[in-house]
Amino acid sequence: MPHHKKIVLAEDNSVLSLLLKFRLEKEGYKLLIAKDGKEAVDFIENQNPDLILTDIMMPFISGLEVISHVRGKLHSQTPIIVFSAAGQEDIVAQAFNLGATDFMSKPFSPNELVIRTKNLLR
Amino acid sequence: MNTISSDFNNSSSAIIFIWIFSLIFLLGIILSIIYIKILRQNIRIKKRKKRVLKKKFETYLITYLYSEDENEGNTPEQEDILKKLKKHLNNPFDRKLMVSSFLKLRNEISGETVDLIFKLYHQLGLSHYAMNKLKSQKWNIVVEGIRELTLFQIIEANTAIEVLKNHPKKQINKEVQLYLLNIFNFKGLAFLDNLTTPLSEWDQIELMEVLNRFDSQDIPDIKPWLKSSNDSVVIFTLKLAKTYIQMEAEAELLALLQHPNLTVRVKAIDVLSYLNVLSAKESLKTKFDTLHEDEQIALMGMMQNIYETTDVPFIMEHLYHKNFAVKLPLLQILKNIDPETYSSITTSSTDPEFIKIIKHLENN
Repeated sequence: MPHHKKIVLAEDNSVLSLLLKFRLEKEGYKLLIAKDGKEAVDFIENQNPDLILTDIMMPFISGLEVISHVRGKLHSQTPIIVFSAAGQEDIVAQAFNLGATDFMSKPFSPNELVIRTKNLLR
Repeated sequence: MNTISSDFNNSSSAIIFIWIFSLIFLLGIILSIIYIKILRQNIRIKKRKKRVLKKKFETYLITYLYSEDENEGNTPEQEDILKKLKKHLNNPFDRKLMVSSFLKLRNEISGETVDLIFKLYHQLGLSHYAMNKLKSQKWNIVVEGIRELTLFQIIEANTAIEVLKNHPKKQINKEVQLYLLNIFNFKGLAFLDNLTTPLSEWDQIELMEVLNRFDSQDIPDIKPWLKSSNDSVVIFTLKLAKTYIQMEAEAELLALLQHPNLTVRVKAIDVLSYLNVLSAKESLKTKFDTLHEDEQIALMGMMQNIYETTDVPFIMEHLYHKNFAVKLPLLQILKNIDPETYSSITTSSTDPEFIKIIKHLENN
């Protein structure tokens, strides 16, 4: 079981955040939940996470801006997984151009997210 | 005090009236301020209660989902959660919050977690409350009920919902159609068999979106719907024919070229063009002059898609058609299939409009 790997989860859907926190903490990860992009950036700057999971549509700062900030301003290579809604293919393309590592289209399986997380944090 | 009283009594009636009115007005303002303060207080309390309840239900839901084990039946933790949630079932406000918490998660995830949410919904008996909404006199409540039953895939509600199929309120009709498609996939299209109400363009778009999400694209026989007396059903079926490449319905599609509704005829031409039905092109060419302008333009679209060298005589016959939307595509086609004839026409023409079209073709 992985120890002390930190994950920042930026998601404004409170019940989804809770579910993913439960699921990922069961796998031994430490979750930092941000309910908007601004909080996510604060966590990323202060906590130096091993993985970032971010939704695209969020209050204050969007997921794309978070990615841009991590790659462009912080020059960090932390893996980033983006959650997109159906029909947002062009936004996903933008996310990859900005430096996202992977994406998952909603609705997604939490089990699949765990597999991808383990893969990226090996 | 006596001076004020005597002054008041000695004043004219207009001034007395103004004083009384002002006092009543002032009293009204004071009462309004008190009312607004009480209202704001109630709103704050309700908001706080909502926030607390929301967090409670979300925590119960997640705990329920992660208390599941491989054995059939509920774990003790799940039974405990069920007992706690059932206490809130009689309160409509609490119930509404509970369902919205379930939906908030259900819309974001897939897989076995969704099955567990449905299981919880069933075990709480929430479908019973949703089905009661179907009996409401208010159409918006009926719509809410159908929507909830659709989202939680309650197949048992099918009989109760199907009777609302031709409801006079179109919002209810739409939800019934979406329910049937979501529950029965393509088989749910059976509602088209005897649909008497019109399907708006937006309704059709929404139905197509639902159909496109299905893994199995096993579409039923669309031929009866192409013969429907409901023109909007025919138009929707034409969309199905195009999207799902229904070559088996070629004869019925050709028959639609004689349909009394112009929109149906034009859309049928578009679908036949997409399916590369050459016989449709030949049939339309022979009666070109009797076609409506829109049909002529649609035929041009078809010819641009499936032109042949045998089209040259037709093109030459109609090259100087009065409608630009006919002239341009005919010249384009001629340029592609018979460059020599095209060249001789373009060099010899003196018609200014013709020359403009030729210049446009040369530059694009």
